[in-house]
Amino acid sequence: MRIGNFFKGFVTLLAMCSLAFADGVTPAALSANGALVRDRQLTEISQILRGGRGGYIDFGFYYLPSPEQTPLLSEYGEHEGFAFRHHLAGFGTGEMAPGKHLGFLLWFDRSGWDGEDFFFFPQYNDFSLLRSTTTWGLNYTDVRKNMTIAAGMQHTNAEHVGNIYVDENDSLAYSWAYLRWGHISARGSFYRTEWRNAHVSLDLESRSIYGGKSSGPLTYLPNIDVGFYNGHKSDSIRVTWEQNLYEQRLYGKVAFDFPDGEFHSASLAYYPDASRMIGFEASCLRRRVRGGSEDLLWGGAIDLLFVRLAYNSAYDYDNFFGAKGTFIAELKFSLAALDGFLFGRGAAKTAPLETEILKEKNKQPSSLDGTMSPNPNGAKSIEATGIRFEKGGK
Amino acid sequence: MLLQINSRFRRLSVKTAKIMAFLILPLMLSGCLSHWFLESSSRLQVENATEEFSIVGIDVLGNDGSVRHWIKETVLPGERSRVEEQDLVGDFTLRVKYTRSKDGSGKILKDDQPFELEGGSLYMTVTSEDDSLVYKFK
Repeated sequence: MRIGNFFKGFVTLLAMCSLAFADGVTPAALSANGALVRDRQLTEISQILRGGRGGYIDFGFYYLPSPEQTPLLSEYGEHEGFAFRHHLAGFGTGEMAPGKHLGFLLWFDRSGWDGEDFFFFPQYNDFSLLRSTTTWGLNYTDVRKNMTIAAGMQHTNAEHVGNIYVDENDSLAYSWAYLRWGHISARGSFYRTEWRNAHVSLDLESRSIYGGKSSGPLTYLPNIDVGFYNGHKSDSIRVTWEQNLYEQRLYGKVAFDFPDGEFHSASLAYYPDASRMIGFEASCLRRRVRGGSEDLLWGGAIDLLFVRLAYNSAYDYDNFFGAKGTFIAELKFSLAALDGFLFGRGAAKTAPLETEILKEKNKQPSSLDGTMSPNPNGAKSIEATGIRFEKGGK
Repeated sequence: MLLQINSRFRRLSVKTAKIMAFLILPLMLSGCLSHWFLESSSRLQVENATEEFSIVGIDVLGNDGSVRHWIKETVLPGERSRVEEQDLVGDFTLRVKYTRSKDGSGKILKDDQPFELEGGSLYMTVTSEDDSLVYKFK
């Protein structure tokens, strides 16, 4: 009983702390999110197009039960409400000719802030901002040449923009293109004829999924992404370095911002299996660099395939309007497939196949035949003695 | 005897698991349903219970100097305003504008007070005490 009470008290305390230290989201962060979503979707697409064929599905939403977890800090005060993000993605290819694959991809994201918690029908109040972003495209992969080309469009629908935000219109004019040759890829995102951002990625790590090594020094090569962002007069560059630290199960990741060479974030991720379906992550992010009062935000996340739990994680700070000081749960599911093998996005190895496990299971009893007891199922032998109620217990 | 208890316990645990599963389902949806019992806007009505002050309006104060008008009409002593709705739930600063006259004339004075608005209907009674205004919510 005492332990029960202590546990209850502890959980209540945790929940209260989680609300008391919850920092609000700012209208500026919500306004800036459109460009961020477009870039994130293309980052995810380029991770999936590393193979250029197979399939991928992803869907999920953030679950924040309390309106005090992500309040909005407007010029009038602190509004109770809900930041939200719903996302959906799919990718599939078909083999047109031997070794030549044609595919279609679709990424969808609806995010923002609203006074009510909702799944389909929001409140649309004076302080809400709701925006959806759709990215679609076609891709072509030549397996023999180990290259992929892809191109498509991005559509932004500013569903509702409250009167405290910067004016925003719907747009059909964003486009993107992607080119990969072996380990090297480049992509660009455009608004009409003006470039918005460009990425050059050197994905040097050898991954067995894509026909590389499953162990050895080649798997310890780095993955470097250089992103150029068009800031009209002040362009910026973000360099992200991902590094396998131990058997493709422990990864380190650092991001730096240039031209000033400012440290942005670092994370250490551990995947119990190299297929990245389950992951544990600790991260550190340097925030408010432009404001001059920079500090470090330490946090972490646990990814359990169907649910992701996070507190102050760098990913959520960057991708969820600077949410901080509160526990975030994301209900989600995402899985990539290639040649019948399954893995998480960005993984180096596939998950062990079920058939292999079954084979092992079938083998074991035959080798242990002599040592096993003649009747391993004890419950049935009791049932045979005539105790009828044992049957109903199942 | 022991077996009987054991099987009963097992039957009970299966039942508990089923009930738990049924409870978890609405719990997962409770986020979406929370606006059934959480109000996401506030409706304000003001009663002027003072004898020598006129309330000429109530604004929501922004920290950048901007204001958002909530109650726009003049509420004379003994009167009450119409109900006005705003999408405001949370912590805000309200500015009560009043005059030291019974007919709303004269110099407009301001009283800024922080309030926590929890949503729903708010009935604010303004009384005076030693030359300053006192607010009571119902």
